[in-house]
Amino acid sequence: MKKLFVIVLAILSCNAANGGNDLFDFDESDFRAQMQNLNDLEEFLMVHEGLTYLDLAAHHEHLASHVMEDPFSATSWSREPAGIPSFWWGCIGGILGIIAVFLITQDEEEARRALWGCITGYLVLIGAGLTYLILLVTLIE
Amino acid sequence: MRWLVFLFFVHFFELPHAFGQQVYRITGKFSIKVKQGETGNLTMGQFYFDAGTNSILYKVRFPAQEMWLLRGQKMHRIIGDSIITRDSIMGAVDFSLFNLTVNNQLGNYGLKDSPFKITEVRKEGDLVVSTWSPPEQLSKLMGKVLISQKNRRLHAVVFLNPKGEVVRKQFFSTYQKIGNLFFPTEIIDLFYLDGEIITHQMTTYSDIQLNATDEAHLYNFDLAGVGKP
Repeated sequence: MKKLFVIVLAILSCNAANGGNDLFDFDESDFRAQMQNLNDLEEFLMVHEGLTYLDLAAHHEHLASHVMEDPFSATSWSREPAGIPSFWWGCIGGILGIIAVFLITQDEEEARRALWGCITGYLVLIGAGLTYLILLVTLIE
Repeated sequence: MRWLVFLFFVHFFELPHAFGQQVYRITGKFSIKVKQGETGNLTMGQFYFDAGTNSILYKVRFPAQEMWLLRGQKMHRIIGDSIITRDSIMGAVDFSLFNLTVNNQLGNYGLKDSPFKITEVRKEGDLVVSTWSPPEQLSKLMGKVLISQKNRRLHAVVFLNPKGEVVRKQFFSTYQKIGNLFFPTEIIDLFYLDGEIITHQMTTYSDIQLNATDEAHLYNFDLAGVGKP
């Protein structure tokens, strides 16, 4: 059974620098310090099950101030192939771009965006060609 | 464009392998803590992984009650009786901790059956480090992936860009033996930009159960029963 392989998105989505020889190390104490407020909030919520962000904001404002309401605000999940909007896949890649978008995302909506990109790309191309022809004819006359 | 198709298609998991250890369902509590600059995020709830339907349902209780259903390459965000969004998330189920663990692929992060080839294995102290290189035609786009194992269990994964710079580090720890599986219950994720960590992330799992029979409807969640906004 074939599966899509996409770990590349995670790899392509960032640019960064090498850590040198300590590839498998990190500053754990700094990491724990970064997480302290979130750990405190987590412990509070384990005791007070059922509380939502809105409850927290209403009655425990100091705890709510450490987090955002939308769980997706800090995530990097992306539906766009390789982080490039589907429109541009179609615009630049043409028909092959649309196929690529559909194969990668298996998403008709994304493929549709690529299709509009493809149509736009061809219209721009046709427009440029006509402009070139008109200019050429004008110059010849 | 053929390289593009090749990039994303691989022979990955064979379905029979999913049942090799007779584990077809995993459930437990989860929490995801993300710190990005001054921005924090906490998500807590219960997860339900089902190998048969290749799906994971996250029943979120904080910050708000909602569900995220990952099935195949799609993620459905369900709030109340409505599907709010449908996103394509590549490999979200295939590369999940649950699927890799059940398929006994966690040790190599699922790269064994991917276009990546193992190019070096060395010992560094108590770590066994393997280097996985992308195929030549992709080497300008993707860097190497280094995997370290400690006591034969996945310890860390380091992603490099083509220049050899670190873009992401993942650390797997606090393994628990659940049935026949060794499951890492703490995963630390560090994302880098220009040599600096830009995002700290910690995922923890607890109260893990295998092949639970209660709440069966959540393992095979029926999307047809959910209306549209």
